[in-house]
Amino acid sequence: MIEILNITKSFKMGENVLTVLHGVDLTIKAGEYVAIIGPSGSGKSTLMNVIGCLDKPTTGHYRLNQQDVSQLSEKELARQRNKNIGFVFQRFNLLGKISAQRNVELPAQYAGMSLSQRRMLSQRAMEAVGLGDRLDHRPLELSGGQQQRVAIARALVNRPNILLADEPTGALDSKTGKEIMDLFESLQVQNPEMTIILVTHDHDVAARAKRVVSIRDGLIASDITN
Amino acid sequence: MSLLEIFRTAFESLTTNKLRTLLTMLGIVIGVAAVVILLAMGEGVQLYIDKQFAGFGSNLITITPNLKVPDARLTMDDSRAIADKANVPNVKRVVPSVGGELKISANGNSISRNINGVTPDNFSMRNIGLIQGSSFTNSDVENRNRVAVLGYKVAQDLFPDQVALGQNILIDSLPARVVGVTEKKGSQGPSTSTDDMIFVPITVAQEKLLANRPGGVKSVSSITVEAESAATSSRAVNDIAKTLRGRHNLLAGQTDDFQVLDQASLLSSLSSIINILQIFLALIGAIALLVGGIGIMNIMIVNVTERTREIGVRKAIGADPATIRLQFLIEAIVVTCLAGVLGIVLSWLCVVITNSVQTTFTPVIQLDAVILAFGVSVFIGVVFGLYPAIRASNMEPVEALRYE
Repeated sequence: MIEILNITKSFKMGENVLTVLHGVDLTIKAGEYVAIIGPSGSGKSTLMNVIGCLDKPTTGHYRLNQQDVSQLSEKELARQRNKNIGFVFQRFNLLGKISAQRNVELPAQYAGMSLSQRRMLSQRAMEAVGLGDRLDHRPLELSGGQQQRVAIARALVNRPNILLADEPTGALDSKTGKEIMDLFESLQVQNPEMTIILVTHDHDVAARAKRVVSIRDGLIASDITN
Repeated sequence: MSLLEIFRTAFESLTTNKLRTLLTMLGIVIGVAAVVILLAMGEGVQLYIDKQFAGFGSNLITITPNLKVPDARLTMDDSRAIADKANVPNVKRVVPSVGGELKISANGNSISRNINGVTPDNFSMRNIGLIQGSSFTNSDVENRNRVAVLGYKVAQDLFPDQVALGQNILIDSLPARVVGVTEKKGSQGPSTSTDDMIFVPITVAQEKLLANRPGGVKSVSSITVEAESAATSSRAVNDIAKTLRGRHNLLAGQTDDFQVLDQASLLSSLSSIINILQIFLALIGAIALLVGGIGIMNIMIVNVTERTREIGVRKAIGADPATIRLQFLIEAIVVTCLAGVLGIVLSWLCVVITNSVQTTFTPVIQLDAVILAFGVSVFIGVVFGLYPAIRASNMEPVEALRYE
């Protein structure tokens, strides 16, 4: 369901053109649990942005659920992100002034759901990550691990088929990080059709995935399925 | 996302950032209030002046000697000539007068007041009613009878606890009998109030009280003419000038040795001064509004920069550019409209308070000022909200998310 065909990505840096991805091919099927690893500057973040429809490839094709999304408009990309992809960031990226539940509601709101419907869905997502009793707390009133759980609930609320996590444990201590990883895995057990893609440079985190794709200098260096 | 939902999001953003919202509004509130209050003040001044003039009628014409011409003087014969309908067809009444300040004593009190030697028509022409006694008569004028009509306040000052009517007073050193007291008129604009005057037959003032004045015994200080109507007043002014030039044997090209001033032209020149004042006030208000608008723009731009990450997050979870743009624009419009309404309420409060602590001067809120100020504040909201909104919507989600 994710088919990446010979994708390149270049950035203009004034006069120079910096090519970050040099023709990547990658196919990820529904329900896989994949880690993308590589040192910083390897192009793994750029690849993640392309997979997450946050950025367009310069050349090549990206088919998401049989649809070519490589050259869609901003508006259509926003729709793809909203419907198909749930993001979890290293630094949580919650909106600080509104409650945890309101944060979780936002993707459902952008999807056009009614107030009562998204209230129900956001509450269910908060319960799924074990924060059913923290609905009205603001993000800053929660611990780092709890904030990341809120972010995961937000990623799940529209029932996306891809959960895309960028260094999800990078800002957490190892015990909390482990709990977050456990949560990811348990969520996939409940919904085996959901694909999880982890982007990390931490080999211990990557080792938990069933498949590890390593990126080096803008190319796939190895692709190992355990 | 529906428009209602975008509105809801904009409101949420405004209410969860109260301080930011208040600071944004402050400039517009002050700007709108300044425009509305200043224009209300201008209108208040206009009304005040109109009211003052309405008190003594706009069809009165005053003739005085031209002080720039040596030996210029007006006489009782001039007055009679003007009163002649053959000379001035639109004349209704003419009152010559002689005035000066003299000491008045009675009842152990001694004060200095304006003495006005006039003919009895003075009272009817200027709508001066009497609360005690009656006016002196034409025979009093002819017989040089020593009688006086006291202004309301003069009577109070001289006879605080007695009836003034029938009392004897000393004007300078001339004994006179009080035959009447005028009603209270209050302030009467640029000229002395009749409350502070004393009226005597013109002949008494000419020959006894103010005999040593520069123009001589036969002269008068001024002649007041009442035209038949305000519309014929300017024609009467021309006829009066022609009559007097003839009588004073002035040749063509020679300057008038008299001045003719009608209330209508005085009022219109005052009105043009007030108009300039109002434009000036409006300009100050406009500057205040502009400064407020620039404040809004600054805060909006700072807003976008500060909220870059928020925009990135919203985009990542599925907000399309149009939705982001609309949210920022609605935030700007809501803030400016709200600020506009608050500014209007603030100015209304100021006017109400001004009117409750004093009554001489009444500022009146102008509907067009309210509409103008509100319109400008909404315009500022849209214009200054649009730029940051477009900037926010064009941000690359990847870059916005990376923003520190």
